[in-house]
Amino acid sequence: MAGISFELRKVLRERTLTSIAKAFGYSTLLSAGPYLISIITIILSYYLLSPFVVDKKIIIQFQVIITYLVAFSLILTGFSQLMITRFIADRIFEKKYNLILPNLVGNMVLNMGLGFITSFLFSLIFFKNQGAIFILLFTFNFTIFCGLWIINIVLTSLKSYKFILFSFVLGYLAFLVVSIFLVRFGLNSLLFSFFIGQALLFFMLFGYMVKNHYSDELFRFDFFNRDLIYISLIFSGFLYNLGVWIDKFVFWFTPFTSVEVLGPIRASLVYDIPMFIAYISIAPGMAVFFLKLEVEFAEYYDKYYKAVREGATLQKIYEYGDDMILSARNVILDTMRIQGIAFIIFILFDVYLLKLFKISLLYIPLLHVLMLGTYLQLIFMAVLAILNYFDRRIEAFISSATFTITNFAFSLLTVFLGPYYYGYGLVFSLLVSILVSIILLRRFLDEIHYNTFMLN
Amino acid sequence: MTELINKEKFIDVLLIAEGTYPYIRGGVSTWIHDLINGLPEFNFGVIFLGSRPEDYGEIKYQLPENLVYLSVDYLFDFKDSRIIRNTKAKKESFSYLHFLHKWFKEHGNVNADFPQKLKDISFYTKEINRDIFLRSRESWNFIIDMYSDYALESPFIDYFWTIRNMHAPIFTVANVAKNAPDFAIVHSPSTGYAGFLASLLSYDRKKPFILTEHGIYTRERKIDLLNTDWLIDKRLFFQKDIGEIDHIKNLWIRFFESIGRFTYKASTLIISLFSTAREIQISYGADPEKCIIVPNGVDVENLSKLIEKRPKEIPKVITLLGRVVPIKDVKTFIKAMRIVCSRMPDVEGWIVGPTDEDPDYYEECKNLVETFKLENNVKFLGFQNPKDIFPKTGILTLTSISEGMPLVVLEGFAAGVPCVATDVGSCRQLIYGGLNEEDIKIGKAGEVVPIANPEKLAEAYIKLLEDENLWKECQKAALNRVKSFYTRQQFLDNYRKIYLEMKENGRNQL
Repeated sequence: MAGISFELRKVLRERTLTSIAKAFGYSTLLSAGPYLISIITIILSYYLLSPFVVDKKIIIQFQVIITYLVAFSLILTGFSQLMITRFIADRIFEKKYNLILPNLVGNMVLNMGLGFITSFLFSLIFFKNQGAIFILLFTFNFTIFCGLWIINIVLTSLKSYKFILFSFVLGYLAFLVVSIFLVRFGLNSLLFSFFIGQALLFFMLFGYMVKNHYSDELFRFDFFNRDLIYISLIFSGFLYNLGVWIDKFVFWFTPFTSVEVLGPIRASLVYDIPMFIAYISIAPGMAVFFLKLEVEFAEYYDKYYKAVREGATLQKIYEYGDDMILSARNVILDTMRIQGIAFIIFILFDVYLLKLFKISLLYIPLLHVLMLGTYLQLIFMAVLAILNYFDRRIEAFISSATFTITNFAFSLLTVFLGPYYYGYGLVFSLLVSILVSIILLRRFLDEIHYNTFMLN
Repeated sequence: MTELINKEKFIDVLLIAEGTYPYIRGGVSTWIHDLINGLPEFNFGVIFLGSRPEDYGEIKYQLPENLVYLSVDYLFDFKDSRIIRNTKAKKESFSYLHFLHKWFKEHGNVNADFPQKLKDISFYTKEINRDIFLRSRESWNFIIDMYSDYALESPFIDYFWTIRNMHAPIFTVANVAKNAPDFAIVHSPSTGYAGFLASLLSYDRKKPFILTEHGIYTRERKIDLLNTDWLIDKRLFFQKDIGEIDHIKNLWIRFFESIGRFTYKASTLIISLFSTAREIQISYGADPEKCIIVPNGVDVENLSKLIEKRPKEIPKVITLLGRVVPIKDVKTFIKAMRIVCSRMPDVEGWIVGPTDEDPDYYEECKNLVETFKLENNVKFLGFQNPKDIFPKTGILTLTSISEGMPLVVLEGFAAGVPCVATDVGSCRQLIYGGLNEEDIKIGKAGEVVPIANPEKLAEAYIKLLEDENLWKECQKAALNRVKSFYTRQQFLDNYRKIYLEMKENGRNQL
C-alpha cells in the first residue's frame, strides 16, 4: 500500500482545480478519516439514539465513558506506539520480515494484557455498584482499544490508509446499527454495541496484518532487547499522548469545572463540548499536512539522502539539502495557511454549527480559543512529524515533554484564574512547545550536512 | 587496546605486526615466529594491528616462551566511536592543519625533514584527537574546504569516507603508542600504519627503530589501489584525461607514500631482503646510508632430510605454493598448465594454499580449470604442510606479480626442489644467484620468466621436466646456494648482532 503518495501525485498531475480538490478530499479521508469517523459517530449517537430512550442521561454517560476509554488507552499504549512502529520499520530495513508479525502480536498482547489488568482492577474498585456485566464490558472495551491503537499505528506507518479507513467505517457503522436496536436496554447494551463495532474494527485490522505478513511464530518479544529499540521513543510516545489529554484531565478533575457522570468518571461540560468541535475543525489542515508530507517532502527527503548515499558531488548535496529544507518549511507553512483559512470559515459559521448540534451559543468564546488551541496542536504535530522523519529522537522527546509539562501547568493555572482564561492554557502551552520544537528543528537543519556526515 | 599477554618482563624488542602475526599465516608471520623462536636470549613483545575484530580468528601459532607481551588493536573498528556532540576543537590546531596540508603539497616529494609536531604523540591525542577529527565542526569544515579546493567533481561520500578511513587509524595508532610498554628496540616489518606506530614510539621514547621491509609496502598498496573496484571512478569519460588516476585513488597513494617517507626518516636502520628492494627503498626516499640487506634464512638442516624421501624419478608435479589471491596470479599458472598438459598429459599442477581469502578469485580460478578441461591435472589442495608436499614435487613455482623474498623458494631449495618463478622481488637473485660473484658461480637453480606470460612459463616447465640432467644441475645449485647464503643460522646471527649493537648504542647508532 506504499502507493498512496504515488496515487496522490498522479491525481495532482492533472493540474486542474478539480484534481486539487480530489487530491485534497482523498487526503482528508485518508489522514483525518479515522478520527473524524470516531468523533462524529460518538457525537451523532446522541442525536440518533435519543428518540429510543427515556432517559438521555445514559447516552451522555456512554459518551463520557468512551472518551475516558480512548484517553487512557491512548496514554497506556503511548509507551509502545512509537517504539514498536520504529522497531518494525527497522526490521523491514533489515529484511527480517518474519519478525514483524510475531513482535506486533507480542506487543499487542502485552498492551492488551496490561490494559485488561488495570481496567479490571479499576472497575472492580470503582464500579462495584454497576454490576458484573458493566465491569466486564468496561474492561473488554478498554482492552480492545489497547490492541486497536497498536495495530492502527503500525498499519498507518505501513501506509495501509485505505484499509484502515474502510475498517473504521464498517466498525462504527456496525456500532450504530446494533445500538439502535439495543439502546432501550440501557447503558450496558450501549457499551455492548460499541464493543461489537470495536471488535469488528480490531479484527479486520488484525486480519489484514496477518494476511499480509508471514511468520511461523505467534509471539515474540524481541522488542524487549535494548539493542533493538530506542528508549527515548517509549517516553516520547507516552509523553505526547499524555500531553494531548492532560488539559482535559485538569478540567475533568477540578471540582468546580466538572460534574460527576458515573462513579469516579467526571466530565467538564464547559470544556469538552467545544473541544470536540475544535478537533473536528482541524481536519482540513491535517489533510494538507498529510498531502504535503507524503507527496512533496518525502520526495525531496529521498532525493537528498539518495544523493548522499550514491555519491553526488557536494554541490548537488547542498542543492538537494536546500530543496529539502525549503520543502519542510512549506509543509509547516502550507498547513498553517490552509488551516488558517479553515479557521476563519469555522469562525464565520460558528453560530450555525452550534445550532446544528443544538449546543448553547454560550460556548462560542471558548470554542474560538480551543480552535486556536487545536490549530496550534496541528502545527506542533507537523513539526514533530518532521523531527521524527529526520530521526531526531531526543529533540522529539524534549518537545513532547515540554508540551506535557506546560499543558498541565498552564491549564491548571487557567482553571484557577477563572472562566475567561479557559483554553488559554492549551494555547500558550502549544505556543511554547512549537517554539521549542521549531528551534530544535532549525538547529538541526542549519547543520544538516554536518549532522548527516559527522554525527551518524 | 587489549593486552593478551603481559609477563611483566622488560621487552628487548617490540615488534609491530600489521595484520600478520599471530593471527594470519604467511611469510611475514613465519618470519616473526622464526625470529622470536630463534633468539631466545631476547625478550620480545608484539603489538598486533588488525583491521576489524571480525576479520580474525584464533591465534595460529604456538606462542614462544620469550614472547613476553602481546596486545591487539584494530584500526578500522569504528564501533567504539560513540557519537559525541559539541566536540570542541582549537582554532589554532586547524590552522596548523592547513599549514601541514600546504607543507605536504610543497615538500611532499622532496626529502625535507617532517615538521616537529608530527613526531609528537600529543599532537594526535590532544590537539587533534580522534573525536575532534571524527566529530567536530572544524574538522567537517576542513574536509569540505579541501574537497572544494581539490576534488570538486568526485563523489563527496567517497571523498569523505576516504579521508576518514585513511586518517582515523592514525589516531588509534597514536593512542597505542601512548599506552605501549617500555622497550629497548622497536622493530617493524613494514611501513604503513605499523611503521608509523614504530616511528612515533621511537621519537617519543628515544629508542632505536629497525625497519625490515619484506615487500615494499608503499608500492604494494599502490598496486592494490590501482586494481580496486571499490573506488569506482564515477566521472564521465569526458571529465577526465586519458591515463589520469582519479583524485581519491591519488589521495591514498600519496598518503601511503608520505607515511612511508615518514617511517624511513624515523628509522635508525632500514633492512631489505635483497638488493632490488633496497634500491626501491632508496627511490622512495630512504637514506642509502641506513639501508642494509639481511636475507631471510630457512631451516636447511631439517628440510634437507626430505631429499631422502624423494622418489628416484622426478615427480611430474608442478606445485604453486601460495594463497589463492590475485597477486599470486594463479590464473597464469593454470593457463601455463594447459600448454604443458597438451605436450605431457600426465603432468599435474598442484595449487597448495588457503583458498578462503578471496573466494571470488578462487571461484574464477576453478572456472578457468573447468573451461580448460584440466580437472584431472590441476588440483587445489588447500593449506598443506610444505614438508609433505616437497618430496612429491618436481618443480616449485611462483607466478606472482609482486613478491618480496619468498621463503618458500628457499625452503624448496633446501628440500631439493628447483624453482620456476616470475621475475619479481628477489626471485632472480634466488634462482640465478646475485648476492655476489661466488653466488652467481653456483649457477641456475631453476628458471626466471617474465610476469603474466603463460607460454614462457610452460616452456620453462617442459624444459626442466624433460631434461633430467638439467633438473639435477638445478637441484645441486639450489642446495648449494641455500646452504651457503640462506640458512636460518646466518639469518639469526645477523639479527642477533644488529639487536646487540642497537641496545648498546641506542638511536645514535647507524
